[in-house]
Amino acid sequence: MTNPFDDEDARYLVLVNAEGQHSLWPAITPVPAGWTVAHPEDSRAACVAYVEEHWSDLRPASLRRLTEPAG
Amino acid sequence: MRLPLSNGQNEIWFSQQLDPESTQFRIGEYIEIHGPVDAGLMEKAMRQAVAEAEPLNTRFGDDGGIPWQVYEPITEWDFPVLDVSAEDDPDAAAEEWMRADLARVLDLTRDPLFRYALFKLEPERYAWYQGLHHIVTDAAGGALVARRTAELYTALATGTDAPPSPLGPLRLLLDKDAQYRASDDFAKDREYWTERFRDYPEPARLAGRRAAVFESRIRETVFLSEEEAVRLRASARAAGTHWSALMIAATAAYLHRLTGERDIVLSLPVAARTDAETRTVPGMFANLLPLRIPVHGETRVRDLLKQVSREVRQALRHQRYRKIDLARDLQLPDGGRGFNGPHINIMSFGYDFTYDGHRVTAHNLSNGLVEDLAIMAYDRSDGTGIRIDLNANTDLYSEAELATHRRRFIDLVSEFADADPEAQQRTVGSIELLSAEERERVLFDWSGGTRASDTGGEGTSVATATTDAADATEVTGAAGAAADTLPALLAAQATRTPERQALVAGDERLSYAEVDAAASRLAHLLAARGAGPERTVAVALPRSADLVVTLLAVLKTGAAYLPLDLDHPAERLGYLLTDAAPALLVTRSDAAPEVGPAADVPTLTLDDSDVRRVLATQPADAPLPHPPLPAHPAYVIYTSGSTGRPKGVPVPHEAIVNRLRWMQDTYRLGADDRVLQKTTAGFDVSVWEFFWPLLAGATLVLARPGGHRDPVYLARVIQEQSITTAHFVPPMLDVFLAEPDAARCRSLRRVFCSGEALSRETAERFHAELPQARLHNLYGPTEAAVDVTYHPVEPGESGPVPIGRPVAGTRLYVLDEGLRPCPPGAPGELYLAGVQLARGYHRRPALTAGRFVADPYAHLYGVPGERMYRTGDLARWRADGAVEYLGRTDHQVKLRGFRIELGEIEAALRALPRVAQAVALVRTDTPGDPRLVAYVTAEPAETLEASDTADAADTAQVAGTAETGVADADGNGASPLDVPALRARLGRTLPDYMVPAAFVVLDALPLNVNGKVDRAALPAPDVTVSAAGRPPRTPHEELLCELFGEVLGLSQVTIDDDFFHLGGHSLLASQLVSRVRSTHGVELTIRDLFAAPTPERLAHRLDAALAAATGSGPAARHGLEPLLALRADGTRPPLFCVHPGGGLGWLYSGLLPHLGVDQPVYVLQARALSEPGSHPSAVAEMAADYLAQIRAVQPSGPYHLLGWSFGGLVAHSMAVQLQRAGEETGLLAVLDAYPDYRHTFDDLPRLSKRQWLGLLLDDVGGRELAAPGPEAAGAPAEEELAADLSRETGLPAHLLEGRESFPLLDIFRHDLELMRTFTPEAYAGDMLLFTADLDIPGHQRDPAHTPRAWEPYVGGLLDVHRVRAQHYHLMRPEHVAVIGPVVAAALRSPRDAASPAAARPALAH
Repeated sequence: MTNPFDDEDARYLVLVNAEGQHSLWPAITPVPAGWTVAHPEDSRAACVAYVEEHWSDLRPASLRRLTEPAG
Repeated sequence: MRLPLSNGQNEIWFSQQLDPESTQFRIGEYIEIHGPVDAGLMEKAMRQAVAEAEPLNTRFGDDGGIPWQVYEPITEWDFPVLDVSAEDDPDAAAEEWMRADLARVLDLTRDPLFRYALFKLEPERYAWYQGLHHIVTDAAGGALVARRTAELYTALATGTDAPPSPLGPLRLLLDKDAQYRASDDFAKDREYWTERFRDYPEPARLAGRRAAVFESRIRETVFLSEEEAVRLRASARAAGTHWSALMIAATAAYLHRLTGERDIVLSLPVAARTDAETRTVPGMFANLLPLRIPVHGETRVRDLLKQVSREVRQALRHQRYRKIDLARDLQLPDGGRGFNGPHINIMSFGYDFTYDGHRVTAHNLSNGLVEDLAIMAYDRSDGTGIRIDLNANTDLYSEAELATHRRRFIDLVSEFADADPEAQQRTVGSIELLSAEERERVLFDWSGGTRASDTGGEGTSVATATTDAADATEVTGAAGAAADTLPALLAAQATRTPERQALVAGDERLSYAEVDAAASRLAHLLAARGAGPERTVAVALPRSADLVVTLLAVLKTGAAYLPLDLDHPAERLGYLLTDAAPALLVTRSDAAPEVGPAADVPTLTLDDSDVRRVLATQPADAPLPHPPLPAHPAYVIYTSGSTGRPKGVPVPHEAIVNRLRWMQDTYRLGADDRVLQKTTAGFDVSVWEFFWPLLAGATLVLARPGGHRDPVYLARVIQEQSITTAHFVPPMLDVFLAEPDAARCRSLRRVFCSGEALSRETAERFHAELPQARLHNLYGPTEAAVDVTYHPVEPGESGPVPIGRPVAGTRLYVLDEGLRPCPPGAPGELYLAGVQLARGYHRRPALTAGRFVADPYAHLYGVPGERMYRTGDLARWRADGAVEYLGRTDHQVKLRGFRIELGEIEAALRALPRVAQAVALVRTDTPGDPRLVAYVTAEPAETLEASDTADAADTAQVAGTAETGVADADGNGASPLDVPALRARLGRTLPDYMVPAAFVVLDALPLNVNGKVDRAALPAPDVTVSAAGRPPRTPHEELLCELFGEVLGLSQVTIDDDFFHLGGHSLLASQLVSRVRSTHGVELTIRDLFAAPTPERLAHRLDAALAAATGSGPAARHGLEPLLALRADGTRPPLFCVHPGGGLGWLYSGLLPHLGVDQPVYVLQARALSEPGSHPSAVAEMAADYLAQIRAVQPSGPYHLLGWSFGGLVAHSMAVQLQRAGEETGLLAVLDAYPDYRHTFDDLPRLSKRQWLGLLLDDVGGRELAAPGPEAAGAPAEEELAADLSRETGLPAHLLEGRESFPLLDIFRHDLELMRTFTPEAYAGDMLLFTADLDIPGHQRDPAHTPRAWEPYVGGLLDVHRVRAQHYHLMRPEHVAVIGPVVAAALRSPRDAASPAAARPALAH
């Protein structure tokens, strides 16, 4: 059984939700409700690089807002 | 004339010989005739047709194993004509008869191999039956006979001349077969098949396994209407192919969708008649062709059809090459039988004939064996559509399962039959397989999710448990409420029940209030030093009250705790500290881990006097400045990482709180519950062990450090502490249940299992041993707060134990590779969603984004935007909605409960010097005993340094030189890789359970055609006891050899045998370490065993550790102390063994494996061994001295005593004295000793020192030493001899030194003197006597030495066991194997041995 997230040759998107959490996503699969495309269809490596670069704080946004009211 | 068999016939002959009673080669059909039939004419036609069909008229035999057949007309056969028209169901009655006929076992050498019958179903409807053996013909051959019969009948009925027989002779079949095998075609066919199947994949199977039994089958039939059939044919035509290819493509697609496999193998039965001539012979030509069809979710239906069409065309072009030949070419096991995929059989033989104008319908009854699933499709070409049968092996499929497959498969066929070009563009993955009702079940009834409209937006109902059932009211607030954090809940419980006992740790007892106060004080200190939300505090403490208080304190500050496992190597701990960068490290001076300079972390040492002083000044109740919010992490636990680096998993409070609330909701701990905490804090099971009891007002009982590995200890602590609740990983549960005292753990109410698959066998044993306790199987990854599913295991169930249903607040999905829900029963990957998900992987965003992914179903539950965690676990829904775990999708393994990424081990191996490539895998070469095995190749030799082998020879050196080499695993001395060194080095970077048990050094890793490592081709590691190994020479070596043997289940182990070569692995290693602790009181680690894996090398470590631990003198180091513990630990009263003449006692160690691990054993040894010149003057004096010593170990009876030879007399004397003192005696066992030795030693030979040594040391060693034999020229001088023997026996040289005599001989002579003058007193108890029945060569047996001689001195039962051995050999392993079990049984049967037994016979035997 091949997992759709581990196929090095497949095409992916990067999705993001309201909590700022990122998800790798197979490009062929419809984008689930509650998520928007943060990085368009690309190679797996490029998507991984995008996440590494743009998601440095893993805290959910709602928690960040609670603890950093000014932020 | 005897003729050979064709190759097809041969296959059947040999298979039938293997199982003569099998009916798997019976084939049969009946033809329904729509009109009246004249039975007389039918019989006439039949007899002529059979006479013309030569292959039916054959009998078989064999000559020296070579089968033959003869053709001779068979005329003696009956033709039953049965009228079943009066039956309620005439068709069923007829079929019943036919099936009974097909179930007849036929004798190929005698019986006619055909049977015909006629049934009257209705006045104008008949059934013509033909039942055959496959060795004479096949389905196409049967159809030829049917057609010819119809032709003859029609001629007879119409009074016309029948055309001449079209049936070809048997000879033609054999000639064609021989011609083919000699032809170029044969070679070409072979090339085609071997090329196509060079890497033959294990076929995908709907049932997920191969069948074990082949005899019984069930059938589901469906009829496609003519309209549907037309649609099917048209769709196939539109795709440029035949409908049979469409059926095959649909079957391949179905298998792919239900198994996830992308390389589908199907079996296609073919007629294998490739020319007009062969098509006339009603004989056996049929063949089974493997089809190999690549298919995945993105394959378009149209492309799949084209591809299948091409595959079938190619296969048919090469259809004469027999499957059995291919199996031989490819060296498939078992004739390739296990490699047959599901059969897809398209039957389109022409049944377009009539019986005198009455049209016919053919009905297949059996095509022979159904291994797994056989889909048969008949195009009846008569305007009545297509019939599809699904035949299935009942060993694999229930009727309900088969019916579901039939429904789903036909739906899929129907999708394929859509000729619309747009439909043909669809992908295989896009076709819906779930019925609406199934979708409802898996997504709503079973998933744990609640439909959005039902709750108005709340996705998954979360756990709402109150905590302490009696005195708590707990409110589950909205996300963000502080009540959803551990410190809030723990503090609330402490407030409710301040005086209740919260914690038991060794002798310490703490109340809820005390624990809370201590934790608060520490929390204030930690907070002052930087601990707070979104920070971590590393905790490196042994299991202790300090550990619990520290964890609570960290939680109170809002920080997450990071547990450091003190058993882990420094390098790994250093990595964790660097990666997690904690604000603080909390430890104790006795536990400070060596973490190296890499991690520069401020450290707080709890027992530091300054720290203690500051702590005392902290407030015990003031609120902390920054308590955590529910979304803040409560702990960070590291798990194995596939790329070689462990990864940290931060788990928020709300996640673990949900998990704990669910647990309390479900299992309801009460005030009287006592939970055992025995899991290392580094594993998340420990989280509920720590906090569940403290949230519920119960008592937390800590096992002693290391105690989790020791089943004897666990059974004891559970009983002593009245434990009600405990957790075991399944392998440890097995070990625990094997412990005799486990069944006495009556206080246990509930036992939880998790960590790896729980076998039904283990579960059943659990219920047998602990009938009062419930067993719960839990499942979950660290990434989802410990557990997400649960299943109560009931006794008496069968099949795999499921992991069960989702816990509250959690959703489960079983999805295929297209992220679509799998139908019930179909394997898919398990995904988890809901409140229990971890935040992700600490500082690893990309890894997090690839494992914690968008949940495509969250909107159904009103929580769009939520994530789901993909577990990598394969699972399926059972029909009842419980989930069954099936394995892994990747290279993560679970071994003895530990989660291991093989990739991490491989990365660590490759990082070692000189290792080029590495593969790690888990093998189960011995059933039930999985082992981690590493395969490595070396870098090319020129890159090596020259010094590698220089120091390799000196294996005798002490610990610390573990890197020096012995031969590697495959005995390849030229290889530069040194296995013990690899193991020792790996032990510095990986935890024990990740260090492979076996290493195999290969020249190159085997590769498959794709250039990837062919894991299946990797060889099993060699597990052998070295033939050339040396026997033990010292007490410690002796004991270690015994313990190695005991743990590994081997009868004899030499001091050179490598624990891991002999099958040792981490669980066994921890058992060995725990036994060493029991016997020697020394805490070795598993890493010691990696570095010193042989008894010899481990003995050195043991010596060093003992010397360091006790500071004791040389006597103790040599094992010569007067009272030596062979096994100190155990719950039973000890057995004390008294030395024989010569004073040495450790020869009794051979008894250990026979007595059970819970039986303590001590030996008494002559004082003169350790205190020169100390010789008692009488046996009674010696006995009194020994009694004083054993009373120090065991203050009161019953005392168990055993003695061999001289020791037997001492033991008897001790028993008498105990009795006189009013003590209770237990077992008294005497090995070949007798009351009277006055005359035994009259003719004591004058022996040289050399001869004496031989006698004494043979005796001592329990086996032949390289001892001095008859004096020979050139024999070493006496002094050298003493030195040699000292080395070989481990005895201090001074005991052997001396010209005329030597201390050991002095002790022996002295003992003989005591024997001579000894007269026993009467003992009023039972005695067990072993007599050595063989004479000592050259030695006259003393006539006084008979069992009866004991009668005056034994008041109770004298139980005599005769041993066929000579006196001096009684402690050799083969004789101990006789004596040991008798002693063990006597120790376990509580006979009141000491009571006066006047009424009993004095002599039993």
